[in-house]
Amino acid sequence: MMRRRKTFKDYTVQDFILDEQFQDWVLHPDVNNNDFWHNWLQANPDKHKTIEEAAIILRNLDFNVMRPPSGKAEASMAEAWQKIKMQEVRLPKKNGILRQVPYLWRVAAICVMLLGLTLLLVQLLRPGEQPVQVVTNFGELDTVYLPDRSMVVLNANSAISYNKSWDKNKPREVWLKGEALFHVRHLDKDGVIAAGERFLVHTGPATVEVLGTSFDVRQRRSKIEIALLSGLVKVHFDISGKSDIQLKPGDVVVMDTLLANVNKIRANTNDYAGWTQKRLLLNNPTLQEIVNYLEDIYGKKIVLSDRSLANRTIQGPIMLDSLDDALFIISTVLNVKIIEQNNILIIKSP
Amino acid sequence: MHIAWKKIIEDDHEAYSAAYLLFYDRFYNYGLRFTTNVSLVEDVIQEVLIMIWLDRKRLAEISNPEGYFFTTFRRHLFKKIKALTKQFPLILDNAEPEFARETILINQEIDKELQQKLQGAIDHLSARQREAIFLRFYEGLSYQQVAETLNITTKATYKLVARALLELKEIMGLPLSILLTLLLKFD
Repeated sequence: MMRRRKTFKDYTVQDFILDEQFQDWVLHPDVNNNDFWHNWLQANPDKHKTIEEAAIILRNLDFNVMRPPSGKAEASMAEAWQKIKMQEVRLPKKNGILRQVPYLWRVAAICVMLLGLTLLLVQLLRPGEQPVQVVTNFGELDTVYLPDRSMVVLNANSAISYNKSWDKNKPREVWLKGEALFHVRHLDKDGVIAAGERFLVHTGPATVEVLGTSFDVRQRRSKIEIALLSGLVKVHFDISGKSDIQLKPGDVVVMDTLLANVNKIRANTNDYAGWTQKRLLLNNPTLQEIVNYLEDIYGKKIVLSDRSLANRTIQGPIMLDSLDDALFIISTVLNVKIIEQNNILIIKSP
Repeated sequence: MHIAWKKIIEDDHEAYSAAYLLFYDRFYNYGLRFTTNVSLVEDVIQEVLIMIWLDRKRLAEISNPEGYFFTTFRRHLFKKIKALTKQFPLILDNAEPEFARETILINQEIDKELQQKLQGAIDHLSARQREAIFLRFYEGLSYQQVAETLNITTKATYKLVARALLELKEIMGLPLSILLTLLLKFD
């Protein structure tokens, strides 16, 4: 900001102290200004002392710095993003981290349609009591009406099968892989449960028996979770020594099929049905849990570059309605880097 | 310290997040010079930083966004501080919030006597001088950006800073031996 016509050659100590370009070099040296001043000094060796004297004055300035407690900035940013989202709901979707996903989804949709056609043909060609199977692809939900008009919302990457028509004198039975939310029609009118009024969901070694109710069955990897939203269900295990468990609304049964252990916990079971609104809601999830869920739902391979990342948690409930959003929230809240290599997502510490 | 404004304009979330964290620390440090009310400062920081994202399409028209947001932050903060002091009628002082005295320090490693003299001079600077020096030498804003933030002319800013620096130089008007020890320290 000095308007004087002097060149650096004529500068006194005072001139240097007050010169913006000189100040920048002394206080915020970088490659460019270092180069400039070192060259200049080489060309003007007699100015060495002047320069050093001027630099000392500036270098003696020190500042008492107040830093926010760690995590504060990140927490503020996570909150800011939530506020921004609320402001931007009316705006069209932004470009995400994974622009190719919509394309993959289109491919997936075509696959599902082909599959549907095949199933239809199979149905038409074979008469009588036939098994029906409904399969969802990654990133796809489907609503299935069972023969008794019970409704099932099938999560992505899941399959349900059942007989096309149900015998009034036999239990209603479905077989599930993956995750589904059941709204079961209540058939019992007289308090005596007839065989045809029973409703059974088989998943892995567990069978859920219900009487008119809403519940979520989540069978992924080696874990089965059954969450009851309303009504009453009984869970039976095809494992010797494991007794049946009755669930009341708000109960969740968690089973590890590898270790064959079963726990009953209390939880906000409505959260378990969050995915039916195409969003995923988890409470204080660890990164590993989120990653497992995203892999199951979106079929994207996700790798943690560092085992210590697995146990980091996101505080509070998180709501995610797309893979992009999920990755974005993970990267900002946990301050990790997400890169894509050979169609695999890698999460690493920054 | 570099902020990728171009990427932010192009809706790059990562660039904005990086800028958010950077500005958060800087504004936290700056804001607490005017008030001890931490949550007030935090609120203003968030408001201003959210504005950066929501107004990102306008960033292209702002010739120097960094200075612009320092200015915005300061103006917002002052408004909030003043609104708050008005709730306490006993404090009749309606003056501008002042930049804290204990911000600028003199390097502890130099000769004790000289250090005290220099610190004395620093402590006698006006609040505006202190703020200008902080913005210019700690934050690395240009004279022009500092001027915008303080809402004065660039020339006036230059004078504020020059007076302070030249006073320090006078005090240091140095016995040669001290100068030599200093030189050794900074090589």
